[in-house]
Amino acid sequence: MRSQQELVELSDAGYHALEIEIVLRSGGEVERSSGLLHVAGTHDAPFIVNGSMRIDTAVEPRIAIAAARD
Amino acid sequence: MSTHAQDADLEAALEAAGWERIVALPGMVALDLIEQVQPGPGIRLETVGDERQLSTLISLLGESFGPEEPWPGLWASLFYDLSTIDHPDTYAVVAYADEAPAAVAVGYARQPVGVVGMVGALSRFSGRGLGDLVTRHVAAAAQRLNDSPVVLQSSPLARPMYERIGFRAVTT
Repeated sequence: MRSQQELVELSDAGYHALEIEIVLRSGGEVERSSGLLHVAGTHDAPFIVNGSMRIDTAVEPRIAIAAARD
Repeated sequence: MSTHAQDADLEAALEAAGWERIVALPGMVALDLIEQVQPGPGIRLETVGDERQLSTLISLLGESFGPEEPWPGLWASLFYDLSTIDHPDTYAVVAYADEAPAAVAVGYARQPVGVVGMVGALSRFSGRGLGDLVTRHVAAAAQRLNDSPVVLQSSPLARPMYERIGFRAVTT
């Protein structure tokens, strides 16, 4: 029996894997650094192919937001 | 920026900084094996494996996500050629209703969890179980390959269908 926390982590892991796969396969770039995941696709849509995600909850929000803006 | 269930502090900071939420897509998980169903009368499935089918997939995604596509060319850029889906871990199917393209789904068999990536169905074929059919097909394929759970991000509209299939929401 998986805990709710484990299920949430599975859901997040799936979302991150999807973002990485579709961006890399379509010629975009993926960067993991300092607890953040950034994806930059070849299309300028502001969802699916371009975005930032915090993958380490220890990263302070202000740092995550500043990195996303960069 | 995408946030998750554990990002309450980040969401508060984003709101304080003037960011707005544009969409909330619950994360859903299916732990048990998903039952496949047979296509109904007049319906058949094709696995996407050539340029014609890929073109059909792109058209279906564009049309099913809205008649006024806000980001023209997005789907064509994601699936610009067959190499984007020609992987042993990737399943893309199109459902035809009375020989007309009607629904599409793409799934990825990954570890530790498989993912249903995109599901689209044309509204004029609603009530024929097409979204259900294509979702079951790619989700079950992803489960079989890796013997893993499978997840997806649901729109509010589609959530009841995914719950019938066997997914349950784990985030809001």
